[in-house]
Amino acid sequence: MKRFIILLLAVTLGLQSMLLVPAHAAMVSTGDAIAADTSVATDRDRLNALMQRQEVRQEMRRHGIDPDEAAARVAALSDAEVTEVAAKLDELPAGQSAIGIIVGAAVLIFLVLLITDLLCLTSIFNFTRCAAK
Amino acid sequence: MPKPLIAVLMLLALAACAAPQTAQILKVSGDLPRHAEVASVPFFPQEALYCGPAALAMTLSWSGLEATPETIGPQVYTPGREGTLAPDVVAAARRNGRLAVEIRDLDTLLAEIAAGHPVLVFQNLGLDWWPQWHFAVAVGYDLERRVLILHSGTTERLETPLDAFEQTWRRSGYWALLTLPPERLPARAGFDRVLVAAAGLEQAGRADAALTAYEAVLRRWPDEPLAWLGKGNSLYAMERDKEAETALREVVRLEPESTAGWNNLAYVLSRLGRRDDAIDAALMAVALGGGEAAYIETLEEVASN
Repeated sequence: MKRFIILLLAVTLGLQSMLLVPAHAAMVSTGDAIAADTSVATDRDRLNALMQRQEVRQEMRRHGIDPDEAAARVAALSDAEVTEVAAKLDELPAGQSAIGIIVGAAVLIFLVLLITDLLCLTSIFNFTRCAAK
Repeated sequence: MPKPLIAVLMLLALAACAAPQTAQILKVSGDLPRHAEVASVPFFPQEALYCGPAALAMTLSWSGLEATPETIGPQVYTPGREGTLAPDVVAAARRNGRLAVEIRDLDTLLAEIAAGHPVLVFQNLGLDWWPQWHFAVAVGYDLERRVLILHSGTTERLETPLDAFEQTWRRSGYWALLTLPPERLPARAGFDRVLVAAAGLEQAGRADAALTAYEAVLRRWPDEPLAWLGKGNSLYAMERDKEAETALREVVRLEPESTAGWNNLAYVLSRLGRRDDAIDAALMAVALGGGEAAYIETLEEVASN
């Protein structure tokens, strides 16, 4: 976990300027309002909603990951894995709102690392399983 | 996939451990009818790797749309992958204006069938390390004979042992989907899952279907701010601004601290030409939003009109 935080900080600080989506005025979509309301949406719904966000999909593409494939992998997580991922998401530094109008930089990096773990390209988290193991 | 091959793979599935959800339901079926079948779910035999389009065409057809594997195929099939991804099925169902609600446990699956709703199911007919992905449609079950009835592959009404089905379903992560006409709610699903499905219709650009869904949701759950938000957003998308204002005012009446409610109300009021009221609403969002830049920009935008 400590290693993860160090890695996360290094990457976040290094790429901060490129990752933050500039704020712009707009209607708050119902989907985003649901994702931000932890009392209503289940962890799984929040996670799936996150994977559909434009910033997340763009971030996946930036790392050479197909966003549809990534969303499918997350959708296929077991209930136990979803609980772990959601818990980790909630632990992340709030920064510029972890999940809200803007998807924070820390969340973006976390999701990319989660997907690379699921694709067996990295092995960072101990709660993910990838097909090759 | 030919019927004998499906049968062989089902037997392989039995070689693994017990099916816990089946065992539980057979022990305590609660208020589930002993057997049920949804009448007249159209059957389309799948061709080659087209089980995804065939399955979705069946449930969409049942829901009242004109759909065939040929028309649905381009919407879901990914040629490079030689198959269909589950999220693509959801997206296609939504673009077709259907309430796409995920089902993740056997008890709920059977309850929906008992309520007259066929369920699109995702199975792994192979093994964890050698998956054979498959989409089929569950149309009936019989607890006495312990079978699930599926439109699967080239077989109409394939009777499958419940425990074997559960194992193939477990390996897909227990993924299944309802595709309902938007005015019809699932028999069992909770508010949050239905809400997500309704919001999905908005996201897919079907504000008309979303509105119908939110109105059905509000008939069952009248005081949910998020459902009113969805209704308001849908009406705004359909340029029915006066009604949108009414819906969004319900949001902030039920939840006075809803930044989304105030923010969106500002836009509606602005488009209605009520600049001062719009500014007031935007100010509420700014005050409640803890200085988040997006709300300040909303304020600037409605003030500049």
